[in-house]
Amino acid sequence: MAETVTVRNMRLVNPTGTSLSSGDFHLNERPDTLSGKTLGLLENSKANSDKVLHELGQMLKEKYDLKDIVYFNKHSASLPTKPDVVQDMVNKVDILITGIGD
Amino acid sequence: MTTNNMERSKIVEASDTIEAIEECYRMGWSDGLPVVPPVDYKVREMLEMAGLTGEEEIISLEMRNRVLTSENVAANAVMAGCLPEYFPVLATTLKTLEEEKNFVHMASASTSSPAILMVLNGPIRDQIGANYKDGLLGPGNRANAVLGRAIRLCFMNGFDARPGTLDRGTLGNPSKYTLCFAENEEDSPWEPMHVARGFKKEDSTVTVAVAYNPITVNNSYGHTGESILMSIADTLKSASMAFRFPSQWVLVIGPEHAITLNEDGWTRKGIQDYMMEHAVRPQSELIRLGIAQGPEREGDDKIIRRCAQNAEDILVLMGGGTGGRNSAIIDTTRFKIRTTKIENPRS
Repeated sequence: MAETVTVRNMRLVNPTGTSLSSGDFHLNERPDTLSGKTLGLLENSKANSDKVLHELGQMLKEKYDLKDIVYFNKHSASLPTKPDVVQDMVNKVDILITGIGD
Repeated sequence: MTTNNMERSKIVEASDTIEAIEECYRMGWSDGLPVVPPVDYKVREMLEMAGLTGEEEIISLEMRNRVLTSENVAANAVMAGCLPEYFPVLATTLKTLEEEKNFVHMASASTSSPAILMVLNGPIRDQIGANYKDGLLGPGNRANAVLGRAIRLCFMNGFDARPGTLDRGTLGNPSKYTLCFAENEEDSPWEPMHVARGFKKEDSTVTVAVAYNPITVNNSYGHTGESILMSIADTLKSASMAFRFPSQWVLVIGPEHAITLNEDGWTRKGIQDYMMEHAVRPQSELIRLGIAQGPEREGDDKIIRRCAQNAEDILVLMGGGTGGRNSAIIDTTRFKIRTTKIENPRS
């Protein structure tokens, strides 16, 4: 049975499908340096997102001692990144920047 | 993934149901409007009527690491204001959404803020008292109002699809509160929409799509069928609508317009073909309007973009009240509209 919240004698069933006491997502720790790290850039396939991220990548490479930059893209702006692309990112990069929006 | 079976009791000093409503706000379970507190005996009542235990997994979203059980869905349905007899419609809609995950992603996260459209056909309409006449698109009818609302609450509560976090809709959309209605099959000059889509008249169905706000077409002075269709096509090829060409469409023909169209011999097929021919824009115009990417190239004025790929992608149904000459267009994106038979409706 799902968790409940009791308001006086009323038990309210949790509608969220998750535990009330904790979330399921945990953020990774931020790296303390970008030096020697591989940066991933994920563009969402909307117009010019590749150009914006590429420019950002070049700026970061000049400013920090990045080991490498790897580019990825979503097959559709409206849909999640494909699982194999996600796994590829996990395998190849230390930090990832993505853009949302149009 | 299984639901957490740990029971947590949080005692809140509350005097009555009003306090429970406020507690639901504090818990972040609302869509902005007051919800019916999902008290356990109402959730159980809904599940028992549907013959469910509460543990069935109804819809999952892997990338959100979420699974909604029938109990979660029933809780959201109670909060929306659903009666137990509405549950088969919800379950069928969510089953469709489980099969069409793209609908969920679009309607819960897209920057353009589309909603989920639900159109009811068959005996279920009267069984649950859904509206297909005056004030078709709301407000005023319980079934129409709460069915769409329940789906949205499932998204918000179940998948954290909230504005500013995982729902990236920039402007939002009133239809995200609810966009659910039924077809007026009895007064329509055409066969019911679900029959045209291959179902039997006695089947109860729900047609599910990703949709933007309905756009009203006020044609008051054109008293021919062609005038009505011309105004619908004109609205359909407006810049904002043409942005999505080719797409799928639901044309809600109001009864006054339907009478005129029928008198002039317009069939559903004829209406669909008219839109294919007239709701078009040359590529060059779309580029100049900034709704298609340029640059403009020679010959773009000869490339004709039609509203749909196929005439069958333009659904036509009749609904709404009399006394005014209005119809409505609903843009339902490129994701294929689904019509599904509702299982176990109350006979």
